[in-house]
Amino acid sequence: MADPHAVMFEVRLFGPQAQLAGRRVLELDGPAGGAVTAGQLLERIAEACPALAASAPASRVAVDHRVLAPEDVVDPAAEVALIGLISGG
Amino acid sequence: MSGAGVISFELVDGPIEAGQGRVAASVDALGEANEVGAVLEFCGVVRRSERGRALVALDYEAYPPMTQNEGVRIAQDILEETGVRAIEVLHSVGRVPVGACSFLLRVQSAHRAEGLRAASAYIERMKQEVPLWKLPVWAGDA
Repeated sequence: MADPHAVMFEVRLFGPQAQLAGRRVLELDGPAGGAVTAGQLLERIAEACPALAASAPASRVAVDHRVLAPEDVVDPAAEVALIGLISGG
Repeated sequence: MSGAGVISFELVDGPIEAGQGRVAASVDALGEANEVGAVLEFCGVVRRSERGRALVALDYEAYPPMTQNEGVRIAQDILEETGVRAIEVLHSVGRVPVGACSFLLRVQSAHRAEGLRAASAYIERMKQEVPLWKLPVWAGDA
């Protein structure tokens, strides 16, 4: 049963990662009342979505369109995006 | 416009057409600082195949405004590092067929050496840092 106090993260997905995951938004539970860093969120993404397990470690987390350092805390109320497998040009 | 130079980064729906962009406007914007002796253009074109498999097109996706913000940030860094006068970028979003241009980089500089260096540096960093994605449209699947 889901923890009613758990924080929910909605992570936007793009390009090949959205295709691999079969969705545009990934919903993840965070620890109740606990802060989650960008690095921890990448680990959670890899656990929750095996299709992204290979690419998540090499990806970055953006919050409100700014890339976070791995140790930065992710605000679950902000717009969270997974920035990975970039292939412009 | 940024400091002593000109920077622009635009997303374009579909292929980039020949002559698209703003060379004349940017040269004018340099005003008295215009000592441009080299204008370099790089056009990225969709190849016919990828990993040996025939392509029809590539579907490009961006994440506005982060895509533009990161594209401008890199251009500012390189403009400061190399001293070029202008860096202009057009990048496609949506479907671009084989043979069409999806990425146009135009660098203006006083001399060719710093312009070539800036163009190479920009492309390398863009492929690592600017949120842009492409999905192949394979022949037979379109």
